Amino acid sequence: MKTLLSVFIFLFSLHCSALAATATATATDPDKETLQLQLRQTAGRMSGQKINPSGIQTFGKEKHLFSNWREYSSFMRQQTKMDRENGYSYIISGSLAFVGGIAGAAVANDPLENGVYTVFQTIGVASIGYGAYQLRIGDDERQFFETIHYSRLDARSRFLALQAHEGQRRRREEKDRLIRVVTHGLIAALNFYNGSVQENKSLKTGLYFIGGVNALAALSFTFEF
Amino acid sequence: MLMLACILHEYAFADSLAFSRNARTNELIQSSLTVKGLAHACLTIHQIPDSLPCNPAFIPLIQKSGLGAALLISNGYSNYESVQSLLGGDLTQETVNRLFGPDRILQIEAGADINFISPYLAGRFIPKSIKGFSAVRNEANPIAEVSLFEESGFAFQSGYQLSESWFVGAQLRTLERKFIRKQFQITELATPQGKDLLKAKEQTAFFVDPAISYIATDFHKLTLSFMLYNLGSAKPVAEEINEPVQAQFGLGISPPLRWGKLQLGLDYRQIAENASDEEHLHLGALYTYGAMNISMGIDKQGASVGIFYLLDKVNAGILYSSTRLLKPDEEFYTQTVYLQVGWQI
Repeated sequence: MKTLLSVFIFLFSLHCSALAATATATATDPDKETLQLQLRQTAGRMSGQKINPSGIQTFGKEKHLFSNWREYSSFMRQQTKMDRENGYSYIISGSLAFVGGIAGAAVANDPLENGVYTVFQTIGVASIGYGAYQLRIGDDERQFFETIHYSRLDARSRFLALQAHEGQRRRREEKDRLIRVVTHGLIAALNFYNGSVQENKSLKTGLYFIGGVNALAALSFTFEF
Repeated sequence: MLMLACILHEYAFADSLAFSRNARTNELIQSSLTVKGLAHACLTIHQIPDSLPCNPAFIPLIQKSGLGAALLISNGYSNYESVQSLLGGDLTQETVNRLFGPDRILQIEAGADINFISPYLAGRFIPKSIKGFSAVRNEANPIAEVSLFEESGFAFQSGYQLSESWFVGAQLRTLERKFIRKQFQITELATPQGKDLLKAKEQTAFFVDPAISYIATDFHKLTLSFMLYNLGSAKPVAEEINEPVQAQFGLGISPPLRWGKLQLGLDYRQIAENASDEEHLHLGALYTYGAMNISMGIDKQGASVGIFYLLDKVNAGILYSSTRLLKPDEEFYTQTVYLQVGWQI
């Protein structure tokens, strides 16, 4: 019973770490994040400003990455093209996983092997759905772009809306960072405490490891590594 | 007589009686499904989808932090409890019959790990990993060979980008292992001294593996890697285990493709014990498209192909390896299936 309770505490700690990390996360493709970060870094290097993940900062007046709506529009068109390519890649790979999972489950005799093929089918369907979402809808940034793009606003108004949007995003990211620091810090403390009172050596080590990971995450958000 | 001479000439722990050995399970090396699929040719692969990078110098290339857990098993997992009880010192007649029955070959790998990865630091905790091989031959006077390992430990990696093309890094590994490595006659188990024959030994090991890499930014990401592996020590020293310091080299390239991403790697590293120079060469390929990752690898031990799917919080993979492709005329060969499921954030 004690062992079962210990395992439950461990799995719950792992799950809480997951919730903390994804509380304000949005589904993004790593290639897109890289492109955005690279663009910010390039712009930052050119302007000589300090770079952080939330944008370009200066001492005093806020500066924005794009100087006009046309630049932003060109950037978002490139993003949308990448979204479409990614979307198709997930749909195709998901279809292969689904078909392969069905074929494998029909042939496999071992129950665990059958189980993995079932997971393949599930991942396949989820991948198709994710790909369709990337293809047709995209992330918040793309939705904002399309909203403004298809409106009747003139170029100057569009750029003012973009500046307001970027300002709001940076403020949101600051709040998000603070929440993550506190959440990860508390989860780290909780796991360290649970590890200290745990009798099972393997679970104790596991809880300390998760505590350490969360402490590191809290530190990284604090100092914006 | 000639066959006996060949067997004695090629004597090595857990190899001499089986004629054919699982190509992708090595008792002294921890590897994920994708790394096995690559035939361990992973020194120049920048990111491994289901594990820490083999080369710690590539840590700065990690774009997204994550925490995940994975469970890996191979066919032969039905022997898990028997192996566990043997390593725990529970030597009963039932266990002996199950493990050392006539013509009994046992190959097993089962383990779990928790991985944390970020652009600055990566870590892996292995709560338990069991790898094993045993074989019994010669019906008239059965001889058994056993190599069973149970390990737990940590690995930490960190890296630094010196310039646009140069990367350095280091990996720290700590291990606690319990193992049995012996060759003996089955009849010896019945003697009073036989009880100690299969007594598990314990060992603690600590290793540091520094690495350096060069990535040419203007030629299909041509990558050269060098790593010093197994710098450290294990205590108490065990004559059954041989972990020499190795200089490992890798050459890789990532040719551009219209659809997906392909990484090719050719590594020179010792995976199998008592390996010849030819057996140090490993060739692997990793193709990524959408949620799908296909790994293929070939070396003197065998060939392997695997598929691994990674989407959001769930991942799963299957790998098939065989020694038959390289030796199609041989009567004895080993085919192994590995399964891996995991969860990540």
